[in-house]
Amino acid sequence: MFSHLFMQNLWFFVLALVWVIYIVQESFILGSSIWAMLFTKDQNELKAIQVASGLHWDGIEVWLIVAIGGLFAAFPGIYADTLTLLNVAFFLLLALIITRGISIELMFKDKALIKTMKIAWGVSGVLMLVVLGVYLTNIFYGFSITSTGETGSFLQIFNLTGIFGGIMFLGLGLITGAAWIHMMTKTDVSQRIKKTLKPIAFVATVTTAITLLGLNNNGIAFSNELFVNNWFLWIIPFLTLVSVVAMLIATLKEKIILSFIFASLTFTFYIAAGFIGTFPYMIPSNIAIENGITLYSGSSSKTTLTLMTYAAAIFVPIVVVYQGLKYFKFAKKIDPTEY
Amino acid sequence: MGYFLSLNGILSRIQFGFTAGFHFIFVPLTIGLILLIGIMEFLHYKTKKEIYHKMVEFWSDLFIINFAFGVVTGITMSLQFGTNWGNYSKFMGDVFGSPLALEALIAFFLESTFAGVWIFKRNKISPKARLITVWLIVLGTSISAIWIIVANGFMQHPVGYVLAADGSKVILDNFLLLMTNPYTWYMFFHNHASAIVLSAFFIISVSCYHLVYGKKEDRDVYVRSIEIASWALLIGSISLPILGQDYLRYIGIVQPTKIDKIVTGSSAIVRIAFSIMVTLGTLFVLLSLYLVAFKNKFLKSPTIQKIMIYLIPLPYIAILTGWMVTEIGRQPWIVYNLLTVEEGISDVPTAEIIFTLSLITVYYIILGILDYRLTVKRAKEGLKDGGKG
Repeated sequence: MFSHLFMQNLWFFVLALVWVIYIVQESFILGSSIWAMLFTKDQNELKAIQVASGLHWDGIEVWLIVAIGGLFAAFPGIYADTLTLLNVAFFLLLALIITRGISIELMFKDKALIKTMKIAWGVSGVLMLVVLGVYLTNIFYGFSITSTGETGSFLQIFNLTGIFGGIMFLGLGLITGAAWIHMMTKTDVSQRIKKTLKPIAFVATVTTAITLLGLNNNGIAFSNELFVNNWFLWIIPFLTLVSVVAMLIATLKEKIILSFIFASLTFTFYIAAGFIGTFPYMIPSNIAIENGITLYSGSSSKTTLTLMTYAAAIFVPIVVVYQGLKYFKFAKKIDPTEY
Repeated sequence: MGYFLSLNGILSRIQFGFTAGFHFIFVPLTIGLILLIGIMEFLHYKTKKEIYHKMVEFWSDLFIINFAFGVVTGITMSLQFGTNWGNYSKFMGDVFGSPLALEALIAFFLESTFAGVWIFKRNKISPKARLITVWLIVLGTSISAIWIIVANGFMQHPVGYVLAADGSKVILDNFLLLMTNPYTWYMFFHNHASAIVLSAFFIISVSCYHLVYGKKEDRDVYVRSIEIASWALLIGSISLPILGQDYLRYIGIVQPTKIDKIVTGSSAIVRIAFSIMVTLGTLFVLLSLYLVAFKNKFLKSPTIQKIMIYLIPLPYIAILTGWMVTEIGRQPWIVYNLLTVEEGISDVPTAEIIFTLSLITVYYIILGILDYRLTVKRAKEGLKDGGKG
C-alpha cells in the first residue's frame, strides 16, 4: 500500500500529465480554428476543418475537465482557493469555451449564422490560447501572497511573464493548428499559410525564451526543492528551448510535420518544467517562497486518493487507448467535397 | 426557522440555481433522446428498413444541437464549485471529489469521444460501428448522471463519511456506503424516468407538428416515432409515481423538514412546486394510456395533434418544479444537517459575483435564444434527403 505522502506527490504529477495531454491536443484544435477563420476560401474548406477538429474536440475538452475535476478531487483546498482567487478569469475562460463549443459543433446548422459562427470560433481560439498560456504561466510564476495571505486582485495574472506565456501559446498553437490542417484535410489552406508561418515560428521561439527567463528571474518558479536538489532536472527547461528552436528550424525548412512534433514537445517540456519547478507549491508565492500554498495543505484523505489512484490506473490507459484508436481510425484526410 | 443569508450568499444561490436550471433544460432531453435513438438504430440494424434510418437521422440532429448546449453549460457547473462555493468545496471535496473525477474518467470521456464520432462521422462508418457508437453514448450519458447524483445524494443525506476532528470537512470513510446511498438511487431512477418522459413527449410533439403541417410521404416516419415514444412515455410516466411513493416515504425518514415544507406548506414555493409536479405527472400517465390505447383515434385527429404541439413545455415544467422541491426543500442546508448554504460560499468581493452573474446571464440569454432557434428550425424542417451529417 502506498503512503499518503506518496499519493499526494503522485497526484501533483498526474495533474501535470493531464495538463500536457490536454494542451498538446487542444493547441491544434484551437490553432486550426484561427486559420479556418482567416484563410479558408469557401464553406467546403471551412467544413473540412470543422469536421477534422470537431470530431476530436469533445473528447479533448474532457481532459480539461479532468485537470480541474482532478484538482477538486485530489486537492479540494487548492481547487477552492485557486478558483476563488481567479474567479473572474475562470468565467472569462468559460465564456470562451462556451463560444467554441457551440460554434464548432453547430457551425452549419443555420445558414444565416455560418459567418458569425466562423468568426466566433476563430476569435475564441485566439483568446483561449492566450488565456491558457497566461493561466499556466501564472501557476508557475506565482501570486502576490504575503505572509498574511493573498493581497492582489485577479488582474495580477497579466504580468509581463504571463503575457509572454500567452503569446507563446498562441504562436505554438498556430503552428500545430496549421500542421493539423495539413495532415487532416485535402485542402490547400496549409499551402496558403506557409509564408505566414515563418514569422509566427520566430515569435513563438522568442516568447518561449523570454517566458522561461521571466520564470527563472522571479526567483521562485525554478528555485524550489526539486531543481535545487537535482541539478539534472534542469534538462527539462533546457529541452523546452531545444524543442522550440528545432520547431523554428523545421518551420523555416517547411517541414510542417516536424514543426508539429517539436511544438508539441515544447508544450510538454514547458508544462513539465513548470510543475517540477513549483513542486510542492500549488499556489506559489512570488513574494517569498514560504508564503506559497503547498499541495499538502489542501489535499484529500488517504482513502480518497487511494480510490482515485486505482480508478486512474485503470481508466486513464483505457481512455488513452480508445481516443488513440479514434485518431488512427479517422486518420484519412478529409475531402471537402465529401461533406 | 429563520436563517441569515448574506448578499453574497443570495447572489451565489441565484447564479447556481440559474446555471443549474439552464443546464437542465438540455440534460434530460439528451439522456432520453439518445436512448430512444439507440432503440431506433437497433431496429434499423436488425430490420434494415429505411424508415428507421430516417428516424435516427432526424432525431439525431435534434440530439446534437441540445447535446452541444448541454456540454458547454455543464462545464460551468464544474468550475462553479470552486469559483462561487469555495468553502463548500473545501468541506465536501474529499467526498465530492472522487465521484466527480470518476464521472469524468468513466462517463464524460465515453460520451464525448463517441459523440464526436456520432456527430461528424456516423455516415462514414459501418452499421455495426454505428450501433456500437450510439450505445456507448447511451452508456456514457447514463453513467455520467450516476456520479453527479451520488454527490447530490450525499448533500441530501450524508452517509459513509466521518467529520474531521476540527469539524472543518467531511472525510470519505466508506465508499461502498456512499455508492449505495438509497437517496442517490431514488434520485437517479426518478431522474432517469423523467428524462425518458420528457424526451418521449418531445418526440411526440414534434412528430405531431409534421402530421399536421408536414409532407404526406414522410407521415409513416412520424407515426412510427409516435408509436415508439408512446410506449416510452407510458413506461416512464407510470414508473414515476410508483417510485415516487416510496421515494417520498423515504424522504419522510431522512429529511423530515422537506416533508414539512411539502405537506404543511411551511414553504409556499416548495408546496406549489410539488403540486404542479404531481399534477403534471398524473397528466402524463393519462396521456400515455390514451396514446397507447387509442392510437388510431389520435392519428386521425388533427385537433388533438395540434394541442400536443403546444404542450411541449409541460415536461420541462414538471422537471424544473421537481428540482425546486429537491433543492429548495433542503434549505438552509447545502449539505443536510452538516453545512449551511451561507457557510459554503466563496470569500470573494460582491462586485465580482455581480460581474460573473451578469456575464453568465447575458451569455445564457444568447445561448437560450440560439438553442430555441436552432432546435425549432431543425424540428420544423423535418426529414432531410440523404441523411448526411
